[in-house]
Amino acid sequence: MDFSIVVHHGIQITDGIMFLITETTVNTWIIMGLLFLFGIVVRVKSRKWDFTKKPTGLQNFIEMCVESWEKFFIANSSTRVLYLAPWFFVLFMFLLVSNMIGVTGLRPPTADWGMTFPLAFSTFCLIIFAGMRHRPKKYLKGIFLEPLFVFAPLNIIGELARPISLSFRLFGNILGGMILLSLLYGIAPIFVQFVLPAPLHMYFDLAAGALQAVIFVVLSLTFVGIASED
Amino acid sequence: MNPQFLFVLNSAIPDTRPLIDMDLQMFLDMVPNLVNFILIAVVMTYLLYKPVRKILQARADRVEGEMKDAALSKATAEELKAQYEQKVKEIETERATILDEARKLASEKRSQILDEAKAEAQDVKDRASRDVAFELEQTKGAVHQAIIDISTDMAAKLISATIDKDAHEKLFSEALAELEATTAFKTETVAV
Amino acid sequence: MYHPLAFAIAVSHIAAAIALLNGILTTMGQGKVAASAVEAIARQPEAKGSITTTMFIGCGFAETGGVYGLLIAFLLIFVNPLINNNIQYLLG
Repeated sequence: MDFSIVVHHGIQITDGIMFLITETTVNTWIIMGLLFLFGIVVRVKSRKWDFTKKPTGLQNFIEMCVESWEKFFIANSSTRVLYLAPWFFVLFMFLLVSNMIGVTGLRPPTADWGMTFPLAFSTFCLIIFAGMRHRPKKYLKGIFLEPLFVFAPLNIIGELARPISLSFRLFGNILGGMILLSLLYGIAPIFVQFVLPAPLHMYFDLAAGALQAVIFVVLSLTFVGIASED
Repeated sequence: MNPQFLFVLNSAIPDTRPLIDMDLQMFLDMVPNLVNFILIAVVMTYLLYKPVRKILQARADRVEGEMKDAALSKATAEELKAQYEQKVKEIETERATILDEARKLASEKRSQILDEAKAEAQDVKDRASRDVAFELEQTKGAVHQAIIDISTDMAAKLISATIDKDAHEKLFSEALAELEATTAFKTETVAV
Repeated sequence: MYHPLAFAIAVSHIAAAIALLNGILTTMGQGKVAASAVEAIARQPEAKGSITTTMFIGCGFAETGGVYGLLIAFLLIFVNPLINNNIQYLLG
């Protein structure tokens, strides 16, 4: 059984260097389409929404999501970086949808290190950005001179380990669930493939997926909050 | 087993890509994913997050404004209430003073009326006693006149009857009887 | 002497099995998390919601080490770095 990522299309740039359109990219486009559809529906409907009236239906749901998200953000990060709330909101939505898309039979984009590492790397960039913007001197001092300048390499390695740890945690969990389910589908006879995998899908795709999305976002928020606060 | 490196060496585009491969190609494959995600983040922020945030902000502003208005109107109401209470207190004191004055005036008038009534009663009493005295005097005068008349009569009769002792006696007793009658009258009037 | 490819395959699978052994300690750690959560709920039943949420997140963190082991096992079996190197060595 081969769990390598299928390459749908590719363009050769130079010898051995290619631009590949992989399964991950295509599934990301599918998720992007779903999210954009939802966003356009909300955008079109939001023109009729009146803030003076009692919210109902979709408006109520979205407002509840955004409001509780900001509370969550402030609880896990700091109010200083509240302008980053939309980024992490979309990140959470994307992770939730892409971890759960395994129930449809598609390969989750997060079961590819090529997807999780960019996400973790963006968090890494945001950590540095928040530190340099809100308290540059203390941030640099915390990395290079704490507790002594001798420990600077250790601190730098610790900082670099964060995106790697984040990305491998998410990647391993989703890939493990996907491989277990694929093995089950490969081993089991055809009549077992209908009802038995449902609880496994429920655990590996829905529960573990949501949990890993929450953990990824909570850790990112905590790192950014720690970097930005005194 | 599937030796993937053969594809890299021999054919331009491989069918599959390994899960993890620490080379330049792996990091090059991340670029479209990163671009995709940044696109999703930017577009979803403007499609979904910003309008909802705007609505929430507008509602929060409105609630805050209404709270401010309510506080303002409450302050005005309290001021008005204080003014009203002040006014009520003033009216109360005014009422009390007016009532006091009225009571004083009434008591003065009462004593005055009482005095007048007393004086009038005294007058009436005086007049009545004067009338009684006058009547008494009149009666006294009348009795006196009657006595004088009787005595004159008696004298005339005495003069005419000096001749007869019996007659004299008779006259005397008559006069006595008459006198008695007048004394009885006199005592009667005194009793009145 | 065994064939080098067969030797590499055997070593890969044994290494994957050893990598999966850290599941023992991971599961023990998760059991400790769950036990602490049960104790906390027994002490404060009214805080059940937040304790459950924290427990799930803690389980996710505790799972990390086990997941790294699982990942290494998967890589050894499905990506086959040793076998690829071996084939390269044989061909080269």
